[in-house]
Amino acid sequence: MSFARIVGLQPRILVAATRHTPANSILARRLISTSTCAHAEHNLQSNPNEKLRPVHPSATQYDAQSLEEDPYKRGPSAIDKAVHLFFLTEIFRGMWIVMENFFRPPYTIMYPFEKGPLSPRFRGEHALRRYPSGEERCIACKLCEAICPAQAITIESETREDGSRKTSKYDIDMTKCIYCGFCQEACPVDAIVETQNQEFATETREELLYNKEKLLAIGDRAEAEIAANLQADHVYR
Amino acid sequence: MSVPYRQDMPPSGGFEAIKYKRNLPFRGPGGLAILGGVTAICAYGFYRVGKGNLEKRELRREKAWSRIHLVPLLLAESDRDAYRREQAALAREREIMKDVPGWEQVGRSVYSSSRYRSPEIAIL
Amino acid sequence: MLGININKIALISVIFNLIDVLSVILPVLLAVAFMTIIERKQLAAHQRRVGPNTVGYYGVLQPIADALKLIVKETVIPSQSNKVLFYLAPVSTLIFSLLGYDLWGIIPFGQGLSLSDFSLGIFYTLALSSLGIFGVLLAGWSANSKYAFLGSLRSTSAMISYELILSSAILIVIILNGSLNYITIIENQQAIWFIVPLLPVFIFYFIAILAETSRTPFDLQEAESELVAGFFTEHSSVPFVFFFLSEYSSIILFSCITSILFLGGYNMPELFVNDTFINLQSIVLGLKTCIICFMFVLVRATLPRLRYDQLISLCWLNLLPVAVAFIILVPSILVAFDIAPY
Repeated sequence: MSFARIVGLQPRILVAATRHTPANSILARRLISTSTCAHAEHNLQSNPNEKLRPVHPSATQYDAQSLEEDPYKRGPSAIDKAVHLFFLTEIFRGMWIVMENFFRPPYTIMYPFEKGPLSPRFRGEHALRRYPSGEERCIACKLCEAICPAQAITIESETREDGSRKTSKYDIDMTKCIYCGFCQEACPVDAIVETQNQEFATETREELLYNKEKLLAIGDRAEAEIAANLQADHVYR
Repeated sequence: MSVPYRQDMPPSGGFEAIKYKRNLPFRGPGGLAILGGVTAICAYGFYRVGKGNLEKRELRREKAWSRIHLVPLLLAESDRDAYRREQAALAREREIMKDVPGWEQVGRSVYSSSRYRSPEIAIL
Repeated sequence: MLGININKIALISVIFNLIDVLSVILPVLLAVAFMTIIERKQLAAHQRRVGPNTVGYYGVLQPIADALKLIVKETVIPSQSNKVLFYLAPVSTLIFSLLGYDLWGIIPFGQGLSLSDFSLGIFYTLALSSLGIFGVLLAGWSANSKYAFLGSLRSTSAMISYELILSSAILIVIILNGSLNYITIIENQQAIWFIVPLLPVFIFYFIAILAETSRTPFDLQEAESELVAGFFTEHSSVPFVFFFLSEYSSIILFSCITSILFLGGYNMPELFVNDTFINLQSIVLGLKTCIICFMFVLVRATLPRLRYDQLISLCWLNLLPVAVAFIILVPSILVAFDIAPY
């Protein structure tokens, strides 16, 4: 995405292509402890002109005077390798990092007392909304019931005296609900929504079988919050 | 709605190669430095251990020789004490048994030979 | 009359012995309990978490809550298990590693402060600590579960292998001392702590005690990802508590032995004359033990678990040759410079 990434890319592709030699696959099977770090480094800044030089020769290499070349010339010395192996320097470096973190403050959010931020799209407890006039939004189209993958929603409808179609029963089994949010996606009138409330644990199972009154009450209580969340998120819908 | 449609695409030229290889370059003091440092520490340690052991040896020797030099003195002292106690015991016996007729000579050895034998019971 | 007096005297001496033993065991038990909370808090700090902080101030009473929870849980015994061995295994593990009148009794906590001045102290410790394997073996066998069985097999082979390294490292310390007695070893370190001359030995000694106590880089016996919980998979409630306690008590025991063998035990620089009734020597020994315990947890926070073949090959192919080399090197130095302790 960034400019540097685009610029730095071209040599890297070339390097990656030339590195794919049989020697590398043999090296990859060797133990990490015996491998040198030279071949393991990412040659990000490597020069494209240098790319033909094999990093680790699989067979004996010869230099310009056709004398045998030391295959370990470019790697760390044997003493280095032995010392770093025997005195566990890498392990001590790791332990040092762990030690540094010991003295830093924790990241913990003390949950019941402190709460982290919630997205406006957070899908928590359900609510049924009303129009500002106080009329229920739900028109009992049963799209939510149809789309609900957990089949947690049960709706029965009736026609009222003024001819409007409303629900006579709107039950959500919160123990079945998987909080996928399909119901609020499906709803044509934004009647069923999921609020940001996630703390509605109860002591009995029956308390989690929500009916229409309960859902409407939640909607009345959380209307301001729901409206604010919809407002915050409307650009993306 | 008003935002123009835009398909998210990879950056032109493709993504950066994934870094899957181990990348842990050597840092800190070199191998020889670490080896030399540890050897120096160990050498100093053995030097101190050696000094300690030599001192322990010296203390042990001193203790042995002080014992050796003290033994004659302690032996003489204990002999003197034993002799004093023996004489006192004989005197007591003589005092107690002076009225008993036929009581054998006080302090006579129970052996017939004239060879000296150290007393087998310590008199307190 | 005389008989009654003798009985009274015997009774009093028994009571005094009991007080002696309890005065060692009770603090050790408490330390084991609090080692669990210390480990959890320290791991949390390393991982930038808070750790248990609700029970008591800063969560210090968490071990008591844990123990209570585990004790009131149901003891489940697999129906196909060998029930006698199933119960015997945790008990024997706990006795061998924790009820250490045997082990803790010979550890000097200060000048003249040990229950028994045993001339073969280190041998005794090694012998008793290696008996702990039997509990593991019995637990794995008696549970009749493949996880427990594999866990106990792994644990047994690892412990037997690493005991070699451990005893080699201790042998080097013994060579440097000419004595198996803990008090003599501590007194010999008045010249210098043995970690200084034996720095490389200390490294592989520490690796060996990590494996002996089956701590994290070597805790293959309880590799959760493959063996559920290792040899105590089937143990629940009180038997589980026994295994748990024995694990932590062996950590504390080995930390204490390490601080005696390498960190000079209760020795400290005599900066001032201590004419109070507080025994600073014991406190110094405790601090050194704490440092080693801290190292245990630090290693656990840092390193991932080894693969099983790596574990065994590290022992036999890497550590053992080094240990043998040092067993030859150290006496050579002592003889060459004529600084042997005898």
